[in-house]
Amino acid sequence: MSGVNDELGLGRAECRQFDLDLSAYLEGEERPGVHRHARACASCSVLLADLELIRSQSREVLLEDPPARVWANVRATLAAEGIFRGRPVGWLRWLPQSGLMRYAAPLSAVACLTLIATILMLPPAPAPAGGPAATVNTGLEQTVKEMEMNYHEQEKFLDPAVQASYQKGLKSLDDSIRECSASVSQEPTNTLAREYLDTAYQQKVAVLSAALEYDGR
Amino acid sequence: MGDSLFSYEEKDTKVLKGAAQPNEGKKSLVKWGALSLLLVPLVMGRAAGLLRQEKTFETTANPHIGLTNFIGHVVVKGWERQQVHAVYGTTSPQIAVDIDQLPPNGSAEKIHFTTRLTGPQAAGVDKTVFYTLDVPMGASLEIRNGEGRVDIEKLQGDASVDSSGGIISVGDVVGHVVANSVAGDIEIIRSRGRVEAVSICGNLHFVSPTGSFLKAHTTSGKIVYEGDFVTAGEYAFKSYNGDIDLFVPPTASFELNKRTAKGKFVSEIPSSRPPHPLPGAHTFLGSNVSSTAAVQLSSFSGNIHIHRQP
Repeated sequence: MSGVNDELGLGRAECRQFDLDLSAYLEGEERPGVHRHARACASCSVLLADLELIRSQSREVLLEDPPARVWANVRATLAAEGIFRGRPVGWLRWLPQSGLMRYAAPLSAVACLTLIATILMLPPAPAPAGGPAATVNTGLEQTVKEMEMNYHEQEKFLDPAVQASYQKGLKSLDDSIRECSASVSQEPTNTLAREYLDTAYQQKVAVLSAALEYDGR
Repeated sequence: MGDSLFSYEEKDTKVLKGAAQPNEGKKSLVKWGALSLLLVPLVMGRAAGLLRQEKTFETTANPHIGLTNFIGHVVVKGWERQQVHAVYGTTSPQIAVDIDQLPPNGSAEKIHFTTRLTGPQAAGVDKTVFYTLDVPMGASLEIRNGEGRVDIEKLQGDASVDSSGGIISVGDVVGHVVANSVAGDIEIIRSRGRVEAVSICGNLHFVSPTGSFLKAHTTSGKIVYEGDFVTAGEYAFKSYNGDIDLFVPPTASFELNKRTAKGKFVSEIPSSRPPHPLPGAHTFLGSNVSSTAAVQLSSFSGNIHIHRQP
């Protein structure tokens, strides 16, 4: 009986050593004990065989670039969550994006806060119609445009019924975007219109994402 | 017209029952009519070349059931057995159904049904697949159906449904219900858990929900809510230009926060307190001031109407 226990104890010690050496062996280092132990131990042998199979199969997996719509969807999600910022537009493109200019942002923020506080003390002046008040997050707007282009390239492959549903939904969202944009332009303080405008853009991203991910084409 | 119907009934009675009484004849006619109705889909399916399959899986009490389909009617019903019984039919040999089960042997914890094309050429292929699943009551569901109606009944787990155009109908579900559609209507009846329903241009209809959270959002569809609000419940109804109609019992009491830019607001439930002078402030409707149900109604140009049920 003690002999069996000794054997079990020895087996466990070898299994522990096998576990310790395994990752180094799979990364290509010389570990002769790994194969020696696997020949003697059934469970470690199965584990080694499985891992070697996974390693060999993974080499055969093709490293393909995902389609453009995947990037568009990732970009859209990041933009919708406010993590991604669109490329600098207009005069912002002329500013360097690194170096000391990086520190200009916090200083500008403090200056802006002071300016805003001063402006808030003054009575509001009407904003010009069609001005910047009508715009939403430019990154999101740009993303929607890109996704829409992708969608128009792909939509002919959709089933007619599915295509009709997406077209109906997108038309409905476009109508609301148009109407809300007009309302925000005419009345920049209309927070409800602005909220609906943002929601419509986010929903459009969601609908376009779903359409681009539809597999039945 | 009446004579011809009567003579038909008499004739049918003779054929089926011989010398049976007229009432029995009527019953027989009803039975045969019902049987014929049941056989119609089978006969039509046969005529349309429906490739029907049937499978049964042993499962745990709370399995996760996934289904991804292109087009077709999907019906899922909860039953007492710890089994999933699946009947599905395709109309084209170029469409196949893959079923993945985890673990592969024994009682399944997860089962996923996936409709797929067998070849690269998708144009012109009828991708319709009909599914009827009986699942354990405790199952949770995740369904993505491109086009076609989805019916879910009697579940204690969660149910999540995504569709581009089909009607989504969910009845007697205890768990969290999430229903998203682009152009399809969504109908949720007697839900007991959290509910989130979004459709871009479909209508949303809720009947007697008893969960404490409900969120409904549509752009151009209508929202109809029938039922009371539970104490401490949170309800948010939002539409862009579709109307919102709430049908609540005369005893309903809730705190209301409504916002609309161009729509009209009408309430048949009187306010028990004077309205707050600030725009967008909450109003208390009803007489039970201890109720803490909070209802948010928001519409850009749709009308909002709170009706009092008779």
